[in-house]
Amino acid sequence: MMIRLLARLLLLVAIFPALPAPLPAAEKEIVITEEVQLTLADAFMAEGEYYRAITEYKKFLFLFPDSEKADYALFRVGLAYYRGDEYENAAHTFATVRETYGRSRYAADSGYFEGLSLWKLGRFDRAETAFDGVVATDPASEVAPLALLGKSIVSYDQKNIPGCRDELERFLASYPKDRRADNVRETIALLDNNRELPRKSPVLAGVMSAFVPGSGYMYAGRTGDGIMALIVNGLFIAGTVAAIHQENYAVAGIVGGIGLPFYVGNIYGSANAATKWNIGVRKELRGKIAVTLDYRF
Amino acid sequence: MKGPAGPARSPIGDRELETSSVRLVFLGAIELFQKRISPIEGPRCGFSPSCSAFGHQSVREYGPVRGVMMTADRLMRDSIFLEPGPEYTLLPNGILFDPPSRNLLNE
Repeated sequence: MMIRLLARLLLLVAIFPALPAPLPAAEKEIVITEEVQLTLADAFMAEGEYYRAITEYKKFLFLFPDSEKADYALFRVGLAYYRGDEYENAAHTFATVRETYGRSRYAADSGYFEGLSLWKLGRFDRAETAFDGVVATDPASEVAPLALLGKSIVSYDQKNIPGCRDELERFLASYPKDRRADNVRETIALLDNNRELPRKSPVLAGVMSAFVPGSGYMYAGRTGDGIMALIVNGLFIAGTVAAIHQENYAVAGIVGGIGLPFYVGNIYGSANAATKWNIGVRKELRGKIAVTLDYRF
Repeated sequence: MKGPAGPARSPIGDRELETSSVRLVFLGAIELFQKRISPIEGPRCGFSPSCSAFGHQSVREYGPVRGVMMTADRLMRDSIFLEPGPEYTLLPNGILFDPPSRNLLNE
């Protein structure tokens, strides 16, 4: 028994050196390469984490300023701003891409997105210039036809329907074989049918409501509002007139004083209703144009 | 955009000190209505912002004359005839979005 125990102990001692020695705490090396950094930034971008994507793309530009992919990283910074609705920063970044990497394959895309960003900011003139720049510098790029379509809708947004039509004609002349050519022809026909958009005069609506309260609303297509304005103002006017007839001038003053803002408001509101009607007509046609052109951005 | 926002702004700090006495009277009357009268029956305006908030904003931003005209127009429109249309945006809670900025007679 004792001998067997000793033999086992000896065996254990004999094999001990053969056991693998415990390793020191593993030290993993994290090597940040261009590939790794861009993959991380792209992953954030794909998840819609635009703020973090911008940080990672900027980190890439800081770590690898001379990289061949610096233009891509800066373009993606602009795109992240654009998708995050930060149009001011987006426009600035896209302009930097264009100016710094003029020969890059992302220069045309940057010009196009710069135009879109400026459009979203309501800077129509500058948006048109940006779109024109894309067509002039790189007419063969994929975004050049889109830039022309964008410019045509910017013209429409500036209430320049002939200008919108001209840009579409320019599109057909420059890109007759583009897959959107038929849509563009259809849109031109749509514009030709709507050269003169129907209008309601805000001035006329206001004058009508000054004579017969509520009639201006009805003229602008808001019958319910017109009926309400007629009832409210009719009651105040009737109350004021009745008080004057009864020589109760204090009551007449109070009722008239309260009713006056409603009377003036009825004139203002009628003009406003006509304005909204005009906006609605233009918006409807704009929607049809965007659908016909199949233009989304 | 997801991520930290810009520097936090104080809701009071951004406002300029009101000095026009006429404007102060109208704003005071609307605030009195909002704090003392409106809570009795709770929110029942068919628009967003509510008529009192619309009036407050209109008077504050566009002055007492235009603000009162805009508010009177809004009060007449908030009636049983109220219905969605191209003029209004229907919000998910069934209320129509109609801010003062859409009532400025600007095409």
